[in-house]
Amino acid sequence: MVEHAWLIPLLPLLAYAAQVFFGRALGAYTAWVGVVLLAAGAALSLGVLAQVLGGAAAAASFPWLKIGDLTFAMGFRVGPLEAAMLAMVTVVSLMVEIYSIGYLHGDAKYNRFFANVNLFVASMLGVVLADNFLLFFACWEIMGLCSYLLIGHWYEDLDNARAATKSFLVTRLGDIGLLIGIFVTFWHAHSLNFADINQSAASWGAGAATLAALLIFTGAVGKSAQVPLHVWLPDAMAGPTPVSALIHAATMVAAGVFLVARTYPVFEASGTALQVVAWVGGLTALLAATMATVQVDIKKMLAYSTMSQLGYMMLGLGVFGYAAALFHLLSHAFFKALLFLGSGSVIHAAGGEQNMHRMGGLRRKLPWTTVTFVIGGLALAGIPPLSGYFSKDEVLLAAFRANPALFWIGVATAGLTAYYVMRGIWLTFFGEPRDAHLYAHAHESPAVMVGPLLVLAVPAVFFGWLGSPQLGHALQHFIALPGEAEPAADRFAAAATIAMAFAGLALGLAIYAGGRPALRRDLIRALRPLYVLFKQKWYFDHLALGLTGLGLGLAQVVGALDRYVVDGVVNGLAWLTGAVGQLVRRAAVGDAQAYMLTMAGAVLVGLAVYLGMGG
Amino acid sequence: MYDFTGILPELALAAGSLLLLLLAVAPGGRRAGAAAATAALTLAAALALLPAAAHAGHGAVLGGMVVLDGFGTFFRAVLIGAALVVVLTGARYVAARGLAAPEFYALLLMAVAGADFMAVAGDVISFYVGLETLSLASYGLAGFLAGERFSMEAALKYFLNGAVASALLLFGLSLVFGLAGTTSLAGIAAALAGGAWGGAAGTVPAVALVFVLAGLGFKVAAAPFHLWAPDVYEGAPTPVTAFLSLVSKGAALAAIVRVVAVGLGPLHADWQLALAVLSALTMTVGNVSALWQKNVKRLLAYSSVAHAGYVLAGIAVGTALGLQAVLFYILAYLFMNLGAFGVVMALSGQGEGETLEDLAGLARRSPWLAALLALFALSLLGLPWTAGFMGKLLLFQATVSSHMTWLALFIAVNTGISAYYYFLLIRQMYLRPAKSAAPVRADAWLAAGLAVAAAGVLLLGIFPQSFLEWSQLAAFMPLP
Amino acid sequence: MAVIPVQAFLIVAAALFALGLFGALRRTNAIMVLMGIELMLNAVNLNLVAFARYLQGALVGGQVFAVFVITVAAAEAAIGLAIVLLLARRRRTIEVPEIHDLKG
Repeated sequence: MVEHAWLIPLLPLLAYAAQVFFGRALGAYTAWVGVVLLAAGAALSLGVLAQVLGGAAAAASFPWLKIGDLTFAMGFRVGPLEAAMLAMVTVVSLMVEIYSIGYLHGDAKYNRFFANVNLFVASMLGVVLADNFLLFFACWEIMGLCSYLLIGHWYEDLDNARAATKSFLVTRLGDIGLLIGIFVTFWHAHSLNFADINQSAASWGAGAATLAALLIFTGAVGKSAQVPLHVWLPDAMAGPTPVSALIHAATMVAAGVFLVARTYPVFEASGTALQVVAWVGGLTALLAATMATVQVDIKKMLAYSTMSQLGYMMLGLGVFGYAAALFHLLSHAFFKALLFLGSGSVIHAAGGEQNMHRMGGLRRKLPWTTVTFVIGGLALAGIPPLSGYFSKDEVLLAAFRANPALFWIGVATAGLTAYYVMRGIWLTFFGEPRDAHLYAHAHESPAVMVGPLLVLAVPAVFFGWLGSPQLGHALQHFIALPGEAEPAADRFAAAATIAMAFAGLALGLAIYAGGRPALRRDLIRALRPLYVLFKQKWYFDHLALGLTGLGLGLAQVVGALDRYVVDGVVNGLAWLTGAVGQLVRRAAVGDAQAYMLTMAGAVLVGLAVYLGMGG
Repeated sequence: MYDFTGILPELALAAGSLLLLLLAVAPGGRRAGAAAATAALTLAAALALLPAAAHAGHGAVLGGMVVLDGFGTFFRAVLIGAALVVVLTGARYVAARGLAAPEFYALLLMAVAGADFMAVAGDVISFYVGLETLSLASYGLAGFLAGERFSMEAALKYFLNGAVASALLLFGLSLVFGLAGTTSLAGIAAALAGGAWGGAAGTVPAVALVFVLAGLGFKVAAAPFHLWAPDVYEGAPTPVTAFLSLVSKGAALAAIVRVVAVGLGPLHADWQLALAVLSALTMTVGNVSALWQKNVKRLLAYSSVAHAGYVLAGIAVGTALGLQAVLFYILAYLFMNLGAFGVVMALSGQGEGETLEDLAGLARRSPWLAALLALFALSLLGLPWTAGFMGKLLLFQATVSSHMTWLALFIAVNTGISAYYYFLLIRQMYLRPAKSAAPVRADAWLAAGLAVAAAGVLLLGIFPQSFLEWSQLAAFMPLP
Repeated sequence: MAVIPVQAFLIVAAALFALGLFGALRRTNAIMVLMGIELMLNAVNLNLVAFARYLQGALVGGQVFAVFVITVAAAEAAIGLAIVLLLARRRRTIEVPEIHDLKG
């Protein structure tokens, strides 16, 4: 079975083709085409996983193109990591598709939605299976295109179309870096095959490896929404919620982490690049968590949380915690998909309302959603024995062994995470209803939506056990790099992590469950600078040179950086190109003789150059 | 007595053209359908005669006027084939807009015959006559919407600029003749290799080279000789625009290879940098000018300016690898532009506007057309698995392996710039609400033409290897 | 008899070409532009026959080329005049600078 793993991406592709070509004929059955084919894909993936667990592996490729003396091969390979990723991606996307049947019921572009999702799943599976950069990059780009189309699904609202464009352009920026990185890699490795690249990376020299690794990392930063290319992810929440669950939580955004893991030896060959990965990851984890604490939109809160968790994964990779980071990637996929689908269920029930301050008390109306959301939330908060606890603990342990500063950043993030999870849960489901009208009309979602929640709750609880110390870190051993050392356990680190998680929960409870709005107001007043800083997203989005009065030097630096460096470079280049375009096209003044004059002028210039060179 | 087997296809085209002119005065012969059918059958016959012509000999025939080789056969097949598809896909447009059909097709066939001669020219004279046959017919075709001011304006601008450009070219060629003492391209190459040039330092050689490059640069719309192209593409009837961007440009690129890369081949060192600079300038000017365009035909005009720039990069490299990349790119370019103009033809054929806004919501009105145009746009952009990507990859490989990395960088940066406007096209179709719900219909011929273009784009993109092997055959290359 | 050097012909031809180009660029009447272009083509012909006369064994090639240029120039003038005629009917002007609706 494992040698037929290449069939797995073809199944959703087939669904896509069927939906594109026969969408109208299929009518309401269109979603089921995808569900059935994806279920087959999931079954096949699980079969592959079982065989790989038994020690099987497969790889195949064929020479696709010969130019001069260069040969490019095209192929796939399945090892432990790929098998695990295949299973995760197919299962999560199957659940999301089933859920979408309910969520998009009656949508005018129902067929189009499912077609795009299937194309996305096919390309994501292609990213996982590709054994070379060429196929990888092609799938990577198609994935970005699908993300763009799905964020803009409700493009009648111009804001959504704008958000889609923003996400596309920002990730594109990272992709340009990645593309150059691929060229640099090719330059040194003389091959685009991952196996060849990884084998030869150590012999390129540190400088070359650093350059290649950092350029590749740019692509990962864009795709995985790491600072400073993170600004697109919160806006991407404009897409339908199942899309947020699948693409912007479980799979595509994790592909950046996967990319770093895929070319890990290149990063290892350059110590600097690993340091950069670790620090970018750590900073993203912390900054995103702080921003999540002040969100009022349930989906935006989860979006920042996703960024933060992706930061953890990058951090893990940067501190030699390869297996730990990928463990966290897998476990996070399940519980974050669960949380997003849960939030979708809430939004569905609340008639499109996403503001948590207008919810409250929904547990009585949405019992199933509440239970599963709480499970997901606690898993995210890292409460034992849920799956998030084990994977996060592993990442932090790796950081503890490698770099204390990063460890403490991670621990602080863990506390913040627990806090905003509790805040979100309480505001949404507990307390008294704050909007009577909304509450009165709320209703539990249909079975087709609740079912996937229940299914995803299972791995949210149990998946982490596979990597627990009690089971001897079975999962990590399975996906680890050959010869990767396991960081020794440390009681202090574990205790600090758990303590922070509980402290965060307790703080959240104290502030929100206490039912004392006055306390919250006082707190906000006391911590006003911080509150504003977080609320303004550390000024990454809009900038605020005039806010000196707040005395937040950091905010200014970050804001200025964003404005002048990130935005400045992007906008500046775009503006410059556009301005040149305006200027150049002026040359086409419309007068035939002006065109002739230009020709004659060019001839004169050419003559002058030639004669000048000769004389 | 000469053996004319080698130019049978062109003789057929000329005969078909004359037949159409007779048809125009015959009773009932003015019907658009009959004329289109005659033209299509003539082109099909020319294609059918091509194998016989290709096997009529190898090397120079007809007193050296024509060279029979794989390169020429390839281009004749491509040019006649492209013209056939333009005739078929444009038939509805010609009929619906009330163009004078017999004369229209007569001119078109004549133009194809001229284009063919440019591709097989073995002599400066046959090259020049082919060029003018193509050009004069094209001037007429551009003005065929005689009732419309834009079309007339396009014809005038095309004519005046074209006439000046061909005078420049001729002046350069006359000096080349003077230096080499022969009009045969092979003879010129031999004479130049023998030192007839006396180095590029002299005034006469420099003038000759610059004037020849300028004249040919006009024909392929290389910047700064491109300014006519957007105006003419916008104003001309859409099938003519497609014809110009496919047949005329394809023939001009073939001619550059024949005249510059082969005839002036021994002077490679003298023209390489000039051609490379022309290439970089052309792609950049084409792409940045396209950024602000509102009219789709005009946008595609600038896009095809940029693509000519990419092809010139391969010619500038001048190696066998570069030439291979050039052939591949031209073929890819033909398929994707055929497709893109085909969709525009579907729109304008039923009287819709040709601006970007008129594309809004096309995905909902006609999902097939939108998906195809998106495919062609992505290929023009150079997304993996499309012909455009393979073409760029080959050009990259060719430029880098000849140590012209800076030119490769230009291609890369320009690809990035072009992403913006191709993306605009796609956004219009997919993310903008449609103003009307009426579907845009493509007739059967147009649909077939689009299918051919799409198949070509995908096949070249996914299975490029067989084409590459075929074009590597020694007999294929015109290089000495 | 003193032989006139080929350079003399080349200089005259170049001057003629430059004059023609100047006319084509400077005159606004389309017919006059056309005449400028004819002048440029005649400069080419002068070049060709001069070379044909001076070069060994190139007599036929150069003269044949010149004959072709003359023939094509006639055809070119014909189609040019046709376009100008249509334009005059349609727009009531043959002043080239006044025809500039297509631009950008």
